[in-house]
Amino acid sequence: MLLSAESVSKTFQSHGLLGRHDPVKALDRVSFDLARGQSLGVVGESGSGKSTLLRTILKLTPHDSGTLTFDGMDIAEMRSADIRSYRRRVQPVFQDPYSTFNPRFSVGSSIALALKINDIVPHSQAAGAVSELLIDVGLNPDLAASLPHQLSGGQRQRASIARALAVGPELLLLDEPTSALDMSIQAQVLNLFKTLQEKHNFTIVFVTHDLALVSFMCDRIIVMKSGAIVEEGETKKVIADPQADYTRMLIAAVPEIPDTTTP
Amino acid sequence: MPTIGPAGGNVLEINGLSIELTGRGKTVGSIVHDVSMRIGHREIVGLIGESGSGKTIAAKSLIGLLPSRIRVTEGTAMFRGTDLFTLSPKAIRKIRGKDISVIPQDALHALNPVHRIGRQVGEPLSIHTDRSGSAIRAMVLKYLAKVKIDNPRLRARQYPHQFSGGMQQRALTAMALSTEPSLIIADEPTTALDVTIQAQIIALLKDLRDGSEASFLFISHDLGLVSTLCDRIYVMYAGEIVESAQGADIFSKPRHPYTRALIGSVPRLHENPDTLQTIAGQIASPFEHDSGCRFRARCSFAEERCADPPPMRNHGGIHVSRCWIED
Repeated sequence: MLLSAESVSKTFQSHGLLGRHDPVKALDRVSFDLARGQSLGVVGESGSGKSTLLRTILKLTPHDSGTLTFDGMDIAEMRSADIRSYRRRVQPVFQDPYSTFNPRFSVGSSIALALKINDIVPHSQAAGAVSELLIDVGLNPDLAASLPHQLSGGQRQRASIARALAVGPELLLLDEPTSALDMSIQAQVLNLFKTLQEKHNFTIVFVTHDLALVSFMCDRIIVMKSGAIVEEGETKKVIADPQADYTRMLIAAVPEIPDTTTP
Repeated sequence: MPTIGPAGGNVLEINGLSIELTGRGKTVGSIVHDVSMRIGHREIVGLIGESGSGKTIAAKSLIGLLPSRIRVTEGTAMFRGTDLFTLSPKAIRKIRGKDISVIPQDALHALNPVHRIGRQVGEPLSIHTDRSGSAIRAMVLKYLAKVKIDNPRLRARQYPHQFSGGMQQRALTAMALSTEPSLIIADEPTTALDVTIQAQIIALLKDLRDGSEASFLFISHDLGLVSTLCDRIYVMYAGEIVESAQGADIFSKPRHPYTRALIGSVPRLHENPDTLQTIAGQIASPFEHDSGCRFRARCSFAEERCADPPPMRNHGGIHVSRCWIED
């Protein structure tokens, strides 16, 4: 297993103006296993804990109890050298690619920075490596000189995928990566994830509220509600025959397009 | 275009609407071109298109809310016997929020955080009618109940931050309904909401259509939503209507290459191909249009004649598409 969670829990204590609120269980005994090369969809509404789960995997939010292991290592026990390599092997792609890039750096230099910090290629070969990465994600390598605001939304998301791939990650954490994009561009980006996964054989955790995206992208799915997993299994089976009432409700809420008969 | 209207006649009839961006007195870009639409009595009409297709600008032109430098250069919009485009700003103000109201996309930003919900929901009534304060309060409670907000008396005294996203959207819907408008423009009213809350709002809109005299113009980029809600659908691309038909026909018998590609690009819940259909490239900017088909640069069926203005073809009934290619 590349990534395993065993009974991972996280509770947030919040303080309001008028004192302490009830603690919020953001993760409630979450367990799952993810094999190398697989893709796992994490579905739930806002407040279901799916973003907290991503932040815990990224080691941005420490969990309170349970264990999270990556390639045999407990991520809570990692030392600074391990953390450095872990932060290279696990890469996030966020919903808003605008926040991924420094607005004053060209897209190419942001990607080159990732290469440099991690000693991926010598300085003299950075420009060539950046071009290759941009071609890999279907962008014109000339775009390396552009500032983030000069790119369209779809181009910017491709560039942020190139930045994530630059360091040769083994696990890609995707947090609603297409929800800011138009439908026709969303299809391009989803196809791109699939082709890149076949080529580089990385593992994917795909967080979304859209079950149809998971159905297209992921082998397995976990459905979360109030921090707990309410259903888990093979995507096709879960969608065809949901067991939990909450999953059934989510599926019923998806507006389906009627079938097309070719004229 | 054939004009087979529903029994009650048309609430709104837009003919040949063009909207252009001007700079230094000259036209520099075409945002909306030759758009004709009609909305029948108690109909829900869908307008679908991607961002930048001009759907919101077209809707805003109806209620006199175009940004400066963006102008209606051609066309008419007949609403209850008057052309909305000929009205003075003062006259349009009397219609906006009363006879034509809007349910906006971002509920939180549409509400004022420092005023109570009840006061905000009652504002259109206090501006457009001379009802007394207590009469308005009674109306507010009535409409909050109508959009299925429990305990309206308590809720009316609360502030926007005490409302969830779905509840805020309900409050705005109550506000839009309160003046008993003949047309409600709903501009992506559910994009900021969770799927289950979205399903509740859509069910609410269906109920309201059945129980009121209003017609709806429902603007969205979500094909699934539009298909479940709308009686008739217009598909917009780069400022032009490329296809329109009865709701079900757009999905079962799409004609325009753009509509077909769009439908193929959406991931489905149950059956999916290995790769989704994509539309190469991106939407052209308003500065690049010529008189030919605006989709031809991205169209996989494009031919030489597509550089000429494409004809509107009739496919039976009210189904039309703007394309050279016959199947």
